[in-house]
Amino acid sequence: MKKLFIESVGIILTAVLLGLLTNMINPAGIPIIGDWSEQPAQENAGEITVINVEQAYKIWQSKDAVFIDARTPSDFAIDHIPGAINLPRGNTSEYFTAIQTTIKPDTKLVVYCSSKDCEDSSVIANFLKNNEYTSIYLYEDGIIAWDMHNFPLEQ
Amino acid sequence: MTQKLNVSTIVYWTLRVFLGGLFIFSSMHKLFDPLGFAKIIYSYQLTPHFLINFAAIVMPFVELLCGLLLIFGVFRISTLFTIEALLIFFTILIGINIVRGIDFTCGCFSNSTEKSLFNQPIVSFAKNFVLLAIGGYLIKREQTLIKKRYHSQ
Repeated sequence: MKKLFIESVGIILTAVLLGLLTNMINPAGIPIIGDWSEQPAQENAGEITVINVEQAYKIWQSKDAVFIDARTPSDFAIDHIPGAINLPRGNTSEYFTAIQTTIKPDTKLVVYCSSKDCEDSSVIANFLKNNEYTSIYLYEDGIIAWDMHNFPLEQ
Repeated sequence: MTQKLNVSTIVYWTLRVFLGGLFIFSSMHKLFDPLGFAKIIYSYQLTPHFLINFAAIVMPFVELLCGLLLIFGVFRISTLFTIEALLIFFTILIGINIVRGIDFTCGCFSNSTEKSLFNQPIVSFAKNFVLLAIGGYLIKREQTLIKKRYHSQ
């Protein structure tokens, strides 16, 4: 029984060690402690404007805004709205540091994720609002509705 | 008698490779997309926020290691007990969320949040009982083999 316990704990500890070491060299690695505390925008809407697929497409055509893709980097790599920038939930701060200098606080931002079922876009919209961005649009139908309307996608 | 023994050996090996292979398979998408898996853990609404990423980093390796050890026959009984403990843990998590009526996907074989037959919570819940039964059978079989070896000495 003691042997069983020691071996089982050994298996778990080896896995923990392997996981942490691999995460350090994995290009898709994530911080050991993530920032999951942001709340969806609906709970704290205020200055965030919710738009539908046609409105999002019009803004995209006008090239008047920066589109923010709130999905994971692997989903973003498969396809995204042309010109969109990836700002995933989970390690938002890390990605945000990289893009913060290139996007001015008064830039019009359109945030989206997969569909109405995902709350990532509203979480990221709220995150951007809390980081002094003043013109935020939440395109809540997401990339699935965009694709269903045969609007262009980029890989 | 010999034929019966052969059938039982074939069943044993099939189930051992199946269970080990399933654990390896289910670890793959989590290994390559830890952030996607972290989102799945978050959607369960049962893990403290500071533990979500840690669990997403470590859990795939627990599954991968258990799968490999089971197939290659290293620490077989301990590995099987670890697998059973994991399955009981997952089943409790899924069960709690079914009762709470939380909208979530299993994340067992994919990080997709799209609803499909295999990531429906109730299907995952039932599947875990089948896997628990397989693990239980393998443990019993291992213990029988040990007893046989002990008596033949």
